[in-house]
Amino acid sequence: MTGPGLNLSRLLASSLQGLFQTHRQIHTHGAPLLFKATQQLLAEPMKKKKRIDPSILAAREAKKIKKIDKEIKKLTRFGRILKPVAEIELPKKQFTLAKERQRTAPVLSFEELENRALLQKQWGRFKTNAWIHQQRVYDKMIAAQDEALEELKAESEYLYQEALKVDYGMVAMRFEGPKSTPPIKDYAPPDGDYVDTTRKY
Amino acid sequence: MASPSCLLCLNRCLQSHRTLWSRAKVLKGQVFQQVRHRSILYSAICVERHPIVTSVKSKVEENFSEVLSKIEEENSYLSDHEMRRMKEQRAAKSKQEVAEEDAPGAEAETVTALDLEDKWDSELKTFTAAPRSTPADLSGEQKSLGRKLDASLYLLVKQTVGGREHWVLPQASWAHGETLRQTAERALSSLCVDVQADVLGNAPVAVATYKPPEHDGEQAIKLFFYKAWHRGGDVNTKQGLVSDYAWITKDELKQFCHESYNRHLKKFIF
Repeated sequence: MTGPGLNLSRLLASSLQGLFQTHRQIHTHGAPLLFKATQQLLAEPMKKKKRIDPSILAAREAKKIKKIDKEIKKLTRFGRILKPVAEIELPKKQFTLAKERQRTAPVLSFEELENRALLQKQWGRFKTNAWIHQQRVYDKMIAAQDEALEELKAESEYLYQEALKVDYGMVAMRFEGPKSTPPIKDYAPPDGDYVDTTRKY
Repeated sequence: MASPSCLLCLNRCLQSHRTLWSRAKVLKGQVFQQVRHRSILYSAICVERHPIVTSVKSKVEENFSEVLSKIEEENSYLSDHEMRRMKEQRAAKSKQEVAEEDAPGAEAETVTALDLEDKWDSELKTFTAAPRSTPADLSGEQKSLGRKLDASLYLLVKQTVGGREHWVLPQASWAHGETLRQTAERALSSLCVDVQADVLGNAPVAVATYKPPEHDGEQAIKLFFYKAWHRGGDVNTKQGLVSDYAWITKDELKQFCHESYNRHLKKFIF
């Protein structure tokens, strides 16, 4: 006698109670095999459809059309401007990491591998020493500057405060590092000078 | 028992000694005060021309960079140019195997990858880079800025300091109303007229103090050093403010400067 919907088990029991009083309605199944008047219903009943004002409906449609029109206008305006080459993103895998682009792995001899490992150790030691030396240089520089500022403070508070001020002129300072060969005086490049025309946003 | 004259003499001696002692104490106080608040301030500027050319690699660096580039090549993928070259090689091989009678004109039109490589090699040969060692290196001309391109050069001038001429970094005494950095810039512009340099910051990098013995009455001196990057120009000795100048590396400093001065230079020249 479980499950929603109309099933006749209850009706049967109540109507036949008088006739078959000796019979007991014992069902060992959870839902006995009885006829059902309607299908098994498990959903909530349908909501009533409300009437919408046609003007509001029309407004909604008009908004959608307007949005699409705006996008079309935007595309026609900006669609003609091409993307700068620097911004074009090629599918990475297809163009650079394809299987056909892989090199055949070279067979390295045992000596070569040993040499490489030993060289890495040597390099590690070399770099560590260079780093330690550099740290010592930094410490000396900082100590020297601290000493200078202390002496200045003992002399004049005004000069000391002036020395502590941040030099914002240094922000614009540029420096180019060394190259492998010095610049040639009055060199005329055969392809002409390089002028950077990338668009700055 | 001493004679009265002797006693008197002694007393007078003691008195004079006492006054001398108290006078000395007063003097000491004065001198101490002077040293505390009134040293003469100087500002020196260290103009550094940074290396123009990279330094030579050491053995370890050379070997390791070689191995690194090899490893990089081994782990890399083929470039477009290499793909093209391989494709042409395969095409050429297949053409060789197959006995063909192709139209001769078709092949001559295409530019192969190997052709391109030859063209690039010949283009590279037409270019000669400037040499890393200049004529100034050979002559050892210490006034030249084009010497020792792989090392830093520092500007030293022969200036009258304390009555005598010394090889020092250009210096000037602090004038009232300016900061020490301005003093350093003034030293550079007044002594080395045409040299342009960017001073690095408002704070001095080191100080050299000179404290004279107390009863000398001399004033203490504090010399503050500023560091600057050379941007262009050379010293013009025609003005007559400096008798001589030199652009030298840090190893050559001891040939020019006094030992006591060099001691301070080592604090910020590495």
